[in-house]
Amino acid sequence: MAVKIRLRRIGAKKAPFYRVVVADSRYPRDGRCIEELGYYDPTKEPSVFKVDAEKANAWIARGAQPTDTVKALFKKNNI
Amino acid sequence: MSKNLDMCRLLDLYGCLLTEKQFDIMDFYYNDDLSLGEIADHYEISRQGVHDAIKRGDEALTEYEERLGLLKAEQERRDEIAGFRELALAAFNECNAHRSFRNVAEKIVVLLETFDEKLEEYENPAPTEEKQD
Repeated sequence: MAVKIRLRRIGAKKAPFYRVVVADSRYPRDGRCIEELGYYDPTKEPSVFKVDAEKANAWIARGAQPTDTVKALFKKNNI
Repeated sequence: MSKNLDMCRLLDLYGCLLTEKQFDIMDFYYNDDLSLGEIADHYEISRQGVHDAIKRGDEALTEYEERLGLLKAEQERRDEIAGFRELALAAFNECNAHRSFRNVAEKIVVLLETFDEKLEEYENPAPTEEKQD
């Protein structure tokens, strides 16, 4: 039942690129995700972080837990 | 996070040298952003065990890089190429500023475009193995 906001890696070898997704913590791997919020590209300088802040806050209000990494990214980008 | 990014890259390079289970744990942790607790549940081991496995993995990857230096070598190559591109662009700007050298400038542009294409081919050798989601 725990809903999490986490990063999910996409992108090619040696070029990490992440989607920010809302997903059920019981299905970590098989790619089921409830909603896509945005993306995070750490390879750019400075790194690019883009999410739909409204949606993200709505999910957090409904009890979705961001992972530590995502939490740090939210904080850094004032969401 | 930038440390994580480095680990991510090292995992791409040297991940195949780890044992399968260790690689999976590292993959969960760095690429799928799972918490220690979630990985622990998945393997039915303790959080401490997961933490130790990741720490051991980090150490192994760091040591491979220290000995082989593939990531560093690649970064240096990238910087070198970027420097070369900049020089070529400067040459283009210089030629383009003079009417009589315009034709040289055009040639430089064509060369640069070919160069970028080749680089793109090299960086993304046809269908890259992408993760399915």
